[in-house]
Amino acid sequence: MTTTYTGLDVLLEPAEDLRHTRYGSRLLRGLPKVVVGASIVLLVVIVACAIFAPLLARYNPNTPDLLHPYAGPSAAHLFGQDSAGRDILSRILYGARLSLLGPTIVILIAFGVGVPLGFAAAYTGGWTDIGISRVFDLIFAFPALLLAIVIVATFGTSFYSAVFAVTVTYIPLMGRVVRSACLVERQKPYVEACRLQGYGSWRILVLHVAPNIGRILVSQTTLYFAYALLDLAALSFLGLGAQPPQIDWGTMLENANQGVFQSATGVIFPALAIVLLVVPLNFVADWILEYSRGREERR
Amino acid sequence: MHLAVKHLSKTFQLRSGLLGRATPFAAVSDVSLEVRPRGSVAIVGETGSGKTTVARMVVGLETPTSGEILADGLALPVKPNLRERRERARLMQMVFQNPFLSLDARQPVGAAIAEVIRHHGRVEKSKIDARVSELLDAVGLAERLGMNRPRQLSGGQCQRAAIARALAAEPEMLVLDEPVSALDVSTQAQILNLLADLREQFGIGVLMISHDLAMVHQISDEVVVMHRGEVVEAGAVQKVLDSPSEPYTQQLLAAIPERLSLNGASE
Amino acid sequence: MTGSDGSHAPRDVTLALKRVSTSLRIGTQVRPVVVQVDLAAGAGEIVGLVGESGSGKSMTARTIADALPPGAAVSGEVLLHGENLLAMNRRRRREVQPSIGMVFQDPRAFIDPLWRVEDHLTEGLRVHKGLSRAEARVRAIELLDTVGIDQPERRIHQYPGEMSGGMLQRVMIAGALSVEPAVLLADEATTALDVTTQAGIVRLLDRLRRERGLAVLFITHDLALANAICDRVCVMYAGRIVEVRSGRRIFDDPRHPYTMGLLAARPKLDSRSRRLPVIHGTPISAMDAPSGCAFHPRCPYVLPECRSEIPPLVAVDGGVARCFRAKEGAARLSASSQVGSQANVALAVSEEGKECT
Repeated sequence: MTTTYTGLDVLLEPAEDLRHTRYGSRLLRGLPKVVVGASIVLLVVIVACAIFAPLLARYNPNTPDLLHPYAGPSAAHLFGQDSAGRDILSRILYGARLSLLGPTIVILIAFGVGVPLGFAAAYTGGWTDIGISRVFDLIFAFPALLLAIVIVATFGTSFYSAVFAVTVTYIPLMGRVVRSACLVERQKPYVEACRLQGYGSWRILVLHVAPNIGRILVSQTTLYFAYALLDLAALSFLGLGAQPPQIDWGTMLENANQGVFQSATGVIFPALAIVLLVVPLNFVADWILEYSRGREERR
Repeated sequence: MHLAVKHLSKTFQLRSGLLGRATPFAAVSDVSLEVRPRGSVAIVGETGSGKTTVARMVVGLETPTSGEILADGLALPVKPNLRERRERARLMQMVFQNPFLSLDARQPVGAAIAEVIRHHGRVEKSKIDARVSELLDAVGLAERLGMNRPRQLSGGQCQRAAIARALAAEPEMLVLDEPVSALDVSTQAQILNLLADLREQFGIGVLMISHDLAMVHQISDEVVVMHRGEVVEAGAVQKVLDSPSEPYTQQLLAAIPERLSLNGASE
Repeated sequence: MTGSDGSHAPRDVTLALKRVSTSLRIGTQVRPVVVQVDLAAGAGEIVGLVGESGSGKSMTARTIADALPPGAAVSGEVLLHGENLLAMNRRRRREVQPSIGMVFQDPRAFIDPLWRVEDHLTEGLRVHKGLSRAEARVRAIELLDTVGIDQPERRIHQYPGEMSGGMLQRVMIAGALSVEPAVLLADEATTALDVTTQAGIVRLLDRLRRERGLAVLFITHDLALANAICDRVCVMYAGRIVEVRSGRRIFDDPRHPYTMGLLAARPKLDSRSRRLPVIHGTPISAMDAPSGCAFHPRCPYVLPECRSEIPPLVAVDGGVARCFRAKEGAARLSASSQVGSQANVALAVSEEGKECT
């Protein structure tokens, strides 16, 4: 007689490691390949929409149609019309551009500044580490959104000041991830073996430690992209980000907020667009971590 | 190379709490030992005996609080700079307990060995690949395995690769920290045989750190027994393990599985 | 009547495994790790399960403890006092779970570092036995005393981080004992401990099984340790039981070439050889087993039939061994190894310096 334990497809983990079986997430313990695949496809589609917006959009996103404000979906306007009668679908497509551009800039700068700072902190140790870590802590001490508001208020509301504000809060995040990952690697015997040979610190860092923390960095960056997107959308929603005629999904939400009882589509579709970007990014980030670890460790 | 360790001590400052006072912890107290050229000495002890700390100080991974380490009569620098580390690496190399962690997980083992050879600059560039093959052969690994990453090898193969990497610097002594305790019994024997062969072939000295008395009996000529940071007994392996004079050594020997007797069970 | 694992059926068979096979889901395939294992442990008996990596010994323990990864499949019967654990519904399984105590290799991985010893020990008592906090604390102090921890009233308030590995292992044993199990699974329970600490824990287990009639399954890779403390030792290779012997016979008179190899490969304290006799190659798991006897590629005494037929367990003095040549014994085998096994011996000689697979 056979008793079969059913479960989702799991990546090969060393059987001895019971610790990895978390109670709550047994369902998501191994992401079915189908979910990850769908996520990647979705992300590609959204990026394509942003790039090809002029070709895909039927209408100019800023052309008003004041005779039909808050109109529901129709044959002519698949997603309906917003408070000024503008075509929501076209606005979503064009809005993808800034909605994607913002987080991209945030991530690039956070990576470019945060990673070297993290390395320096982990490797030099001592006062450099203390100095950098305390600056990070100072930034962390402020609620991110509040800090962003202060920065934007100082430099004036615009897309770029919002991006700048969010970037400032993400640099220490990235730096801290890098620092922690480096510190973990530093304890491992292979780093000691390198030191014994007389390899210099930078050489160990660049040739040995960095490749080993690569997948954590990539995974984390993907996740931060999603969070930066949310933060920027929040700022736009508050009116502190992109200003008309610039369009991004956050401003669309702000715009639709007042008329939500007349037309929900103005809120639903931008919100859906955000969700359809953030959730797949989370799955992909998780998959990068699990899959590349599985591949490295599998015999 | 003649290694002499004289009155070596290491005290760690353990900090408790955020602003807590630092309590000194004497991990190693006044340890002296010698490894003659081509000799084989083992340091045995249990957890907390300080044996690993002694090995790490000899190799330069820890800074002694006091005492000196002499290689062929010359004192080794306590806080070596990069150049001094490289020179020490040509005298002695370390093999760690966990072979998978002691090699860069993302680097094929052949490349790791080649990197060491290149770093020490004693072999012409064009001859490096041949040298890597020689080393892999010396440790009993097929050449094609040099392209594998550590995780793609078995524990025994990985430890062989780590030994090959240690040999790449052409050291005069190997310091081995529990080199086989993470391996299967059948693999342990293979590695121990390999070490015996390498000793004969290359004339290198061996300083072995272990808790396994039977293994030490097999592979070492002399043994130093440590307990709580101090040397309790030292001498020729045959003498110390066959007729120990110290109660601690006797206690250790009585506890090993081959000698274990339970009340009520026949022995 | 002799049980299929060579034991004479004890009066109370607390734990019995009958033709248990476990397979794991790896990628898209289901691969075997434990094959047709028969085991029995009676009240007050310590049975040793010895093997190297891939032998299936840990997976056997996991099968009994219901701690297999998702996607695993099990067949056969795991009988606890005659009741099949594998056939139970979830509720009944949860009810009997306290009867199986478990002690693992690394206590720190299984004891919450943020819980005091008291919390860890009293949890089982309060949940499964319905004791009040105060009653549970008294019982916990008793338990700590039983497992040989000094000053139990003080230790009960300590955190795991304040205790040494050996002491923590005793706490883990106390925790397992708190719900009065019938069976104790010790999976490499002493592997991470010093030799003297190990001796202490092993003496404790011995005392507990005598005093409480516990059936203990002692899983280890150390054949000498199993020989020293177990009433009966089972050796596993590639997912199967290959030898079961009682008393000290496995050490003095091994009958399976793998067991002989394991014993020969260990350095001895009373002799010193220039080189240790080695079993060439590496241990394999059931999923990589060739046809016929799983050990045949590494066996110095291999016969032609070993390559195609799986040997059955053959009765030998004090147990069984899974070898066509089990009746011959070590002395006769090494004498006869010049005949009939040239291929493997020649392989062994040429491969002496070269371990490449």
